Amino acid sequence: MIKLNKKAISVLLLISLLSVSLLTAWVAIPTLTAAEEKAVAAPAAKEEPVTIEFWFHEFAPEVERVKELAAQYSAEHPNVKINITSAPLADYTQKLSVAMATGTGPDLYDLGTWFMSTYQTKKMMAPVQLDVFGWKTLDDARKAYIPGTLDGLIYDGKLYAIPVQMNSFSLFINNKIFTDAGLDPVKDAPKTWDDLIMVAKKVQTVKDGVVDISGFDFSANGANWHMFMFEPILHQYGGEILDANGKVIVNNEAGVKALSLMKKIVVDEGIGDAVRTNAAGTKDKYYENGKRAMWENGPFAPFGFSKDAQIVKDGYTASPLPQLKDGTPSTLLYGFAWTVNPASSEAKQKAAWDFIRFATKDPQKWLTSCGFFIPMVGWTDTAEAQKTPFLDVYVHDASLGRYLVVSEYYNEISQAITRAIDKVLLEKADPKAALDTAADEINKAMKKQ
Amino acid sequence: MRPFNAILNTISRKLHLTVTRIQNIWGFIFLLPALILLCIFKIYPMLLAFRYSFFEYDLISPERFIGLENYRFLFSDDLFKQSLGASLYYVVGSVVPIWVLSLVLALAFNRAMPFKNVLRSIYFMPVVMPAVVVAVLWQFLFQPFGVFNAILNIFHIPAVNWLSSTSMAMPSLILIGIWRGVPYFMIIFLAGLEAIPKEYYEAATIDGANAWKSFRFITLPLLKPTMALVMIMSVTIGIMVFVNPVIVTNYGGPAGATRVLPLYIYQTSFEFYKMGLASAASIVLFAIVMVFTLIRFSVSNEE
Repeated sequence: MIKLNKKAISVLLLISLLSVSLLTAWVAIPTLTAAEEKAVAAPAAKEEPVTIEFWFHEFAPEVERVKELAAQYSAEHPNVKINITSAPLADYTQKLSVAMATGTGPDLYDLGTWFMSTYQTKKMMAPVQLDVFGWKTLDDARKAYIPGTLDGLIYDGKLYAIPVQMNSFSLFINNKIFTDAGLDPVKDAPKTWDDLIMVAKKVQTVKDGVVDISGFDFSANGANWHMFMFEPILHQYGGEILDANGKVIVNNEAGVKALSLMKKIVVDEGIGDAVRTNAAGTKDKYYENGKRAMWENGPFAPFGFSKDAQIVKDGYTASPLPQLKDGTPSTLLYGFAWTVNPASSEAKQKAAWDFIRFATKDPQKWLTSCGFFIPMVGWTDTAEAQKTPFLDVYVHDASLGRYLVVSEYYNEISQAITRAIDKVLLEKADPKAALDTAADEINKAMKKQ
Repeated sequence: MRPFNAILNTISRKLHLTVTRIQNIWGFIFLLPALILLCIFKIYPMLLAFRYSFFEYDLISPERFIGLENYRFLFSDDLFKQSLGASLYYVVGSVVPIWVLSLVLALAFNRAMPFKNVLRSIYFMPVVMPAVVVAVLWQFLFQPFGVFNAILNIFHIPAVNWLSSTSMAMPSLILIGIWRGVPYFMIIFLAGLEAIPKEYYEAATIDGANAWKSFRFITLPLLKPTMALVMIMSVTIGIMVFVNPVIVTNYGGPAGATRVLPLYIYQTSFEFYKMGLASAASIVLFAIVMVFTLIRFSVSNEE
């Protein structure tokens, strides 16, 4: 054991401070240095043992990653034990809601960004302890992330969660289908929705009167996925679901144009197959099985492919999400963020935030192990990060990302929009009429407590 | 048990209880654990739901009494009406074929035939399969390139949009309900058929009755209690259908065509956090089942 006198400690502290200053000046990511980590590490080894219950939705690579992180954290903080519970998303959401409502919720949990408003309104999330992350103000936190990517996690000037997976959606192309049609997956990747229609027609094949290889399919399967497909196009037309005062405006001109574009692609131009677009349980399968040329999805998608999937043999290329020719460039931004239960004890809250800091400090590892894109600034410029396939595409699309509608009535809104999209794409209904009905349903839901 | 028995004997001697009364007390004691569980997990939540139906309650904030507002909202809500309609469509579409087919199968299996028990077991398989497994299995059968469309293709019949058409999604769910319900009710009918004394049929045969007349004048009248049970149970099970609209048609899609009442209640409570409204919808669902049951009982009593 080396004993240090006061002078030596002072010199070491000075060196540490200098190092910190230099490092923060050199690296754009305002994450903590080792010295700072120790300074903010919570709780100290001498403190009472703390057991954190951590719940998150199940995604096999993430489960492995979290187990690994929890073990590492407990090794560094022997007094902190992290119990992990995961469940498939639908079950997880229900279990979490009931548990939080009945006061039996976990100390730390992950939450879809679309639920943030609902949970925040019901005071089920604690504000982030900025000092744990080495931030003094909310602006410091904002600077650590790609501009706009924390917007959906901030309410009344407070940050309530830390993103662990903040995906944008990009266009995934099946290389073989493109090359078989004489196209280059990179050069011929569609930039606009009009390009997409043109390219999709070239690669789509029909067998026995039905679409065999679809040119492109909207993955409009389930309420969230309908929103993932619709809202970016709505934003590209300059539209919103709710205006700044919370009034429903989805059925205005921009909304009708957005839904009409979806109808044009699927119904009028016959791109893809509305039926299999909507077929439950298969939204990923057609692309995975080499039966879909183009597909919208996030960086995590390839991590869901089985090793012997056709798409793995065919190869894929990620390309920026198509835009309107003269529209507002916009993509989707959604994901999962980790937050802390305000009902947990102070010690647990502190330890939970510190674990989040610890777990999110290596975005590169998250991308390569789970396909989760953490929109922190700086790390994507490193030589190692640059080796990640299509990282530039993911960063580009994330930088144009817009959150899904922020409202405590998100579930009601998404279901109303889903019904409208289904009516238009499957029953060829008039987009204006379908959106008028959706607007009525949303208005009614918002009035009823 | 002995000390307990001794105490009971002392009490009964002091209270001058009869043997029958003592037996009743014992019966009640044996029933008590089940009654306690029933009260905790069934009766109390039902009473609580009835109470919540008059409140505004989101699980988190304090509840607020709003009288009949939840009921007024329900009956003016097009989505509730759509769900009610979907449930009634499902019940009517599934229970009538279930009654007929399960009775026909029970009659067939009530006759002497080779491998009867093996065949009965095979027919009963859908009942023992977990509901979620059944749902996933049928989901794949109904896929655009699934087994059903492949069979139709052999006969050059155009593919059917089983799950992605608002007009076909509910009949597809009804088909699953029938497939799963028929073997279950077949067993109940079989039990009823086996309880009919064989002598009645022998006497009818001696009197010159043919098979139809035996069925019409012996089997059907004596099966009435079983039929009443099957009717009430099938309607109750039908109106409570939940797993298939969640898994097979992805939460009541497309366009809400299969969003049955239990799914409406589930989403209103655990997705929208409107517990009061969901409770009111539950009470309406309960009332529907009760009204049907009472009608069926009153018809049985009149007969």
